[in-house]
Amino acid sequence: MSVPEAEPAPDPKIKTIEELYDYLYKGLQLEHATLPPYLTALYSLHPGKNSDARHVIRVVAVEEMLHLTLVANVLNAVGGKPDLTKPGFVPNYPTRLPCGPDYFDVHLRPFSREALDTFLKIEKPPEAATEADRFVPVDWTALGLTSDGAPPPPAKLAELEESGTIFGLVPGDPAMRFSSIGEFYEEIIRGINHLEDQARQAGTTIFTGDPARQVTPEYYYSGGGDVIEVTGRDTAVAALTLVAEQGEGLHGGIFDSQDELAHYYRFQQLEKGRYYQKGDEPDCPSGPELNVDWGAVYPVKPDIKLADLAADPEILAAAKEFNQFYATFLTSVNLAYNGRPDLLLKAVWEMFRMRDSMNRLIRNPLTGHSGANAGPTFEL
Amino acid sequence: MSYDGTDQVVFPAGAATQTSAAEAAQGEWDAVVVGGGMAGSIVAEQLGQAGYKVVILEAGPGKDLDLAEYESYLSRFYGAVVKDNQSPYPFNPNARMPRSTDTMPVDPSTPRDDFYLVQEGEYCTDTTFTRVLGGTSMHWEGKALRMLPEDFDLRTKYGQGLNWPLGYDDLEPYYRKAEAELGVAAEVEDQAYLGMHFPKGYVFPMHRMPLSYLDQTVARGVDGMRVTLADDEYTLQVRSFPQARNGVPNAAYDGGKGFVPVGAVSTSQAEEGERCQGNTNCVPLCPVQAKYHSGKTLAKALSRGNVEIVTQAVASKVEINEHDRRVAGITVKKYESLDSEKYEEYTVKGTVYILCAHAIENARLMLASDMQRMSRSKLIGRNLMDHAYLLTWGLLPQPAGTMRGTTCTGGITDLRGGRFRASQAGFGVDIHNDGWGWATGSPYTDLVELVDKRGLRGRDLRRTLGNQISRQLLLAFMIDLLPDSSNTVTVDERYKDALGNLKPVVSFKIPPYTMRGAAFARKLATDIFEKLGAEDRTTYDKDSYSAVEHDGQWYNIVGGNHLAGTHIMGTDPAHSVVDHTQHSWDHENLYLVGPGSLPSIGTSNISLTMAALAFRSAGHIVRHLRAAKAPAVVRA
Amino acid sequence: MTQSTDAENKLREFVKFSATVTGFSEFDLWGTGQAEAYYETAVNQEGQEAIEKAMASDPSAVPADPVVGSIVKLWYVGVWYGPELAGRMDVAAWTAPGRSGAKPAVPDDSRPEGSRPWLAASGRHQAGEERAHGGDGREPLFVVSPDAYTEGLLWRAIGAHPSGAKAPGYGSWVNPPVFED
Repeated sequence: MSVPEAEPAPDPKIKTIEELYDYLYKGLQLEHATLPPYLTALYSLHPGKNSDARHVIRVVAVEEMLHLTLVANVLNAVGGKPDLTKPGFVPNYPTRLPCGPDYFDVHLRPFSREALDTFLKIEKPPEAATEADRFVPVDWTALGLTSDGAPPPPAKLAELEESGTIFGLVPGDPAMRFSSIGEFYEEIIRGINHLEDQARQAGTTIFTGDPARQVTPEYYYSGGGDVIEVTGRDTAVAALTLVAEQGEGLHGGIFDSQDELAHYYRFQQLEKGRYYQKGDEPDCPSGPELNVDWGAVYPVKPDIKLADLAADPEILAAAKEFNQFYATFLTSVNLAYNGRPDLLLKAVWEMFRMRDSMNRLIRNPLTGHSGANAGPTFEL
Repeated sequence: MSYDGTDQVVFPAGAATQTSAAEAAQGEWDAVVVGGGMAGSIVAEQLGQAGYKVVILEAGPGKDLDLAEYESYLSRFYGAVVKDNQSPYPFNPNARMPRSTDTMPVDPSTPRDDFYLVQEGEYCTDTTFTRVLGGTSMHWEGKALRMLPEDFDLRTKYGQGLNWPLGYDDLEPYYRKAEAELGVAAEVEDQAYLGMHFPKGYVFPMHRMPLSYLDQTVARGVDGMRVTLADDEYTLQVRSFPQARNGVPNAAYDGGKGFVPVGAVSTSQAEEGERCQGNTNCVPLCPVQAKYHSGKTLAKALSRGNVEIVTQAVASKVEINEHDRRVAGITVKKYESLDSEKYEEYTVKGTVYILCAHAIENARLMLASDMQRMSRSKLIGRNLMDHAYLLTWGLLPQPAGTMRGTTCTGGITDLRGGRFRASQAGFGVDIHNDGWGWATGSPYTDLVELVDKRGLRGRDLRRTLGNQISRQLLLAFMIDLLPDSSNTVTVDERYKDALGNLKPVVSFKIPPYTMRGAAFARKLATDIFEKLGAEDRTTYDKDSYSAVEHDGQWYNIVGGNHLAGTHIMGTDPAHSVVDHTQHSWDHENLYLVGPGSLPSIGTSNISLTMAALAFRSAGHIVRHLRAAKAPAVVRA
Repeated sequence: MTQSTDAENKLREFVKFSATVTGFSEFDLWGTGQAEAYYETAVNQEGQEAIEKAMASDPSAVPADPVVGSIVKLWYVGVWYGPELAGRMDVAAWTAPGRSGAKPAVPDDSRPEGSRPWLAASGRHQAGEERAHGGDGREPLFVVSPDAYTEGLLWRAIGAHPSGAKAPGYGSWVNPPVFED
């Protein structure tokens, strides 16, 4: 990743298997947290329009599901138990993710230039050149959470994390966060290496998970990259590297190691109005032109909550039903990650049901919010 | 492919337009292939892989077989008022295709653009094939059955039809190649029946498509049902069909290497084409490219570099050297656009010529080029075959989930073979997941009936529709039709298309052997409906163009879009048009590759067999080219 | 919505009325995204007055106002069948998503002599290219738009999805159908 190999191995933040579990859980949470905003933008597009934007966002969303699965495979391989149903797993939008030097809000909102800008920030390649740049302090004052810049008291902090309002802090180090998603995964890889080295010296391994809990290619494949079965250190590193690369690109390039265009550059195509092709340098796509019709979008009310729907009982009922569908979906995925990989096929049915339900919500005009439409609230 | 989940199928941007017909005419090609459908794509890909320079001449538009064009097909289908199986594809006066909506007897005074297939008789088939890049594989259903071993020597075994010049075992390795190329989902344990056998340890690339709830409902009544036919007893069961669409890859494939499904064809990274999602729209178009179409093979061929394609180039004449009867070139009419009849003529030359334009177009082209004159068998255009479909439909006592799944997941295949074939045709039975649509125009006819005739509104309407349509069961009997030299494709100077090319004149009748199978099928359907407690709603219309009388009863026999047999293969130039390698008996540098070579079609949808034969012939063409080019190398 | 309040109210009235005659909730109808296009279609084809008359008509009257039938069918399949096509099973059959072949068993007793309106829309005429126009500018038969087809309510009523869209997912077809209510 961003740190040159020549530097001496820095002290890893992950020193116990429990800390590794915490980090990987955070990884699941992080990968999942991008789905609601991507899906809201995707289904806000008018049908039959914006084919390019539709495909770009769809592929990224599908790959976020892949990332979730890859992180689950790593967690299972080291004997952990993924849990997508814990309270606070789904963020309370707007939320903040641990990426980029700027701490920005991630909203649920319709496809727009602002939404695209957020997506670019989410997937932004790392800029850290030195070990110290990998972390940035949390600016609690800017967040409006304290007046003196000091972290809130532990109880308050726990509450903020629980509610999903803040997200992606360095576990155990409330004053810091990672400068990019890539650095977050880099830290996990260091932890795995550290713990596995220790284990091997003791004649054991941290890869003690039941192989039957791995999600294998017959259960998960799509046009956007393939699942990696994690059985040891190499496959774990490959899986986590793929997650980081698919977002941000490999070694500063626009493609990942599977020759898939990284998410950042996929989104950038919409901004630049042109596709990338093989051989292109970052920021200079030279492929076919593409068109974005910024107006062909349903005006979903940003960060909509059930509380906004009091005047529309039918919409309220449908929004609640959607949230139930979403909870069922997460439960199915969770079961799939806990020994029933075949259930991922069923989770796809639930995803398609959610798609139809979201489409209906997004096309319904709200009463009393002039010009705004409903949308999924993702309040579980 | 490294980790990639589906094989990337990147269609080189502009590949379909980068070679002009003028450039093609100046090029020196090892092989000139007419038609970019399944047969042409497989042959071109194989020859290209062997290092030969290939040009494909494609009549259809296919500006670029990329995702945008594919989506335009889908959007055209959504918006079309008449949603027949050609509705996704643009109207093209310069390379017309038959549409079921055009089925009617015509005469020279019928307006030229109202029809493509010329049928003057009383019985008219509504069969179709598709003339766009990708050919009929764009709208095929994706059933990929092998032929039965007994199909290859029907004449010897049962005194009917014709023997093939090769047997099941000769074709078996190529069936496996075709199953890999098309990505077939099936289980050996389901498919090893009526003598079909597989090498030890073979598994299909992907696991079988799950049987629909409708199939399971039918199975509850049908499994174990006994039928006596020509003194033999048969036990029926509902079985899943092998299908060329992405499902769950079989990890045991290829000795444990597994299988990598092929995704959607696109010019950019819009990855799609994953697992079948159950769009129930295999015909006329799979919206997500889970179903194989030959664009997947074509994209591979074009990205490798030896293969080029010229679109909007209608082959209008095979040029023959009168002295040695060798093909001297293919003359194409390259038209400007779908809206203009303007064209330029070019002759494209190569070492070998391979006609892959489908049964009717191959025959039409050769006949329009006056090649029957040189044919020793005089069989060009004769023995036209197509499966005869008899539709039967009933209303089940309970909702069975009709209108979900792939178009067809299961059926009854036990009567595909057996000694009864000495006197009547065998058949396969499709359980149609899409209800009565094919037969009656349901579900729209149900809607109009309930709204306009019964005056239903609101909840009442909604519930009645659900209850009525979800109980629909349509059994489509796909009946064998033997080669008959009086079923023909000819040409007639009075019928020309917009470019002045002769249209195919089709004369096609359903022979009594097939109708005996149909009559038996009708009775069997009645028995099955009774077993299931279903109300038989089948009616036949004797005034329809598809009406056929047999034994005092009228039936409607509809087309199967499985056209075959206009240049059948055999062991003898006096009785066949091509040999077992699909090499023309009469023209040394000409191959006719496609379903036209099939001497019989049995009861399997023809595509898989045609693909297997294409792989087999490609090997022979490579040897032919090696021999043909060897002297030149020596001279150099 | 960007229209004036009056237009907005009229549209809401149309959706409210449509909910009663289709058996789907107003939420479901708005959820198709087709409300405006359908209202516009109905008004353009039959005129404001005829639509208001249809909306005020007694739904249980025999025979019912045929414009109501046209509106119901519009919501169910996205096709505008003009009131003169009421009861035309042959037209219905031609417009259904047919997978292959002609449709031999359509009773054509309802077909007026010499009238083959589907011809106008078949053969060389495709969606978005050219439509049959009557002398008065009315069009007796058309699909409102490609997404009008995929948003048809019929498919939800039968516990399925439109052929070629809104797929339910690999293998979901093994289960019994579920009818929403």
